[in-house]
Amino acid sequence: MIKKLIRKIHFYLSLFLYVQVLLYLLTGLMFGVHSFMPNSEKEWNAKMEFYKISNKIDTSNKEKSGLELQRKYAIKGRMMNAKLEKENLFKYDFNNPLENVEVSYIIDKDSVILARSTPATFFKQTERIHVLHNYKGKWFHLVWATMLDVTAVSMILFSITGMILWYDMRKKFGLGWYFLIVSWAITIYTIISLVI
Amino acid sequence: MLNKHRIFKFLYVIHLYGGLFASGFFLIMGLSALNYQHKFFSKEVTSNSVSDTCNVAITASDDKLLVEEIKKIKNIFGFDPDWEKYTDSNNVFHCKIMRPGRDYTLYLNKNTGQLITITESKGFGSIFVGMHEGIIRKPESLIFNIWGYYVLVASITAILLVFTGIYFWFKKSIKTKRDAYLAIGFGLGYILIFGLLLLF
Repeated sequence: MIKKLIRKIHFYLSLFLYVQVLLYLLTGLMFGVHSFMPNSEKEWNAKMEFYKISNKIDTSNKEKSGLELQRKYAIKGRMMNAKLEKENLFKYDFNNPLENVEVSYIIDKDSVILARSTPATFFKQTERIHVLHNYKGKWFHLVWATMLDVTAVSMILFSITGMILWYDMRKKFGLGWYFLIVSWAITIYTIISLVI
Repeated sequence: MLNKHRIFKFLYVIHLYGGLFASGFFLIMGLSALNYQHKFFSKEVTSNSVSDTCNVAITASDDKLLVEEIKKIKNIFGFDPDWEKYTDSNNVFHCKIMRPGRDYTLYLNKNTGQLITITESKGFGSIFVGMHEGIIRKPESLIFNIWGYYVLVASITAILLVFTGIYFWFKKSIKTKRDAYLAIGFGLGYILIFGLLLLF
């Protein structure tokens, strides 16, 4: 009964998560080894835009003014930061895996400067996708963050249910002990040596 | 010629042993990914600093070599950013060495050879971050290098696990149309959300 339940958990989790797990494994792997790839040292392409504005921006409501700026200047992504940097300078940061935009609103000069930076290489883009997290932004950002949590919990459950399923067949697949010991010896030893 | 039964058995063994080999990796990656979003464990300095003074005979003249020598003498490893290295007007060399779980601030008096080491312990979150990024950063530590290569091999193994897992769905596990629709539906759902993230 329990064995059947564990097998079901392992199977249904995989039905839900195969794309997400694959995406994180592939982007994580590229993130880690991209220094061997061509042009990996090239990080960002940057572009500046200057605008004069006729109406003052109401910075007291950060969310509303941020959304207005996004609409007006076709800025992608979610607002990560909005704050008064100096007496006459209000800054907004917008973040999308394919574009970062820093908006500087110079209050006394009624002007806006946009610094758009885009990842210069495919490997940089994959890195940006890999690190995208946090419950912040539009509805699909929240869905993504929830999926990330579910994926993380599932990775833990995959590990535990997989070990239980193997344990039940350990006599037939005795070599499994070696793989299990190698995995956990490295993991536990790394943790201990970093804690002490 | 390989028959279908043999292929199935071969992939099953890969899935089983590969899964066991990657089990530690899965657990650490899962826990650390949760910690990135919810910050259950702090990665900042959590305990009071511990100071230690000793006298050393240093031969290196270059800052980089000097740090390497100090690391060997003190048996510590980690990153030593260039912007933290300088010699002040009293001929005292300053540097910082950072590694998951610990920060070291070092002051070496080049005239007397006196070395002061201040050690600060960081929260468990810092260890999680270090292990999550283990594949990228390989400070000159044997154990961290082993972890880095383990993560690399376990990541490749885990990709194989996904593909062999999908093979088993079709060969054995997916018995009803509902399960097949669920797998396709969730896959397409993820791709849709992913597309929205990139486009807007």
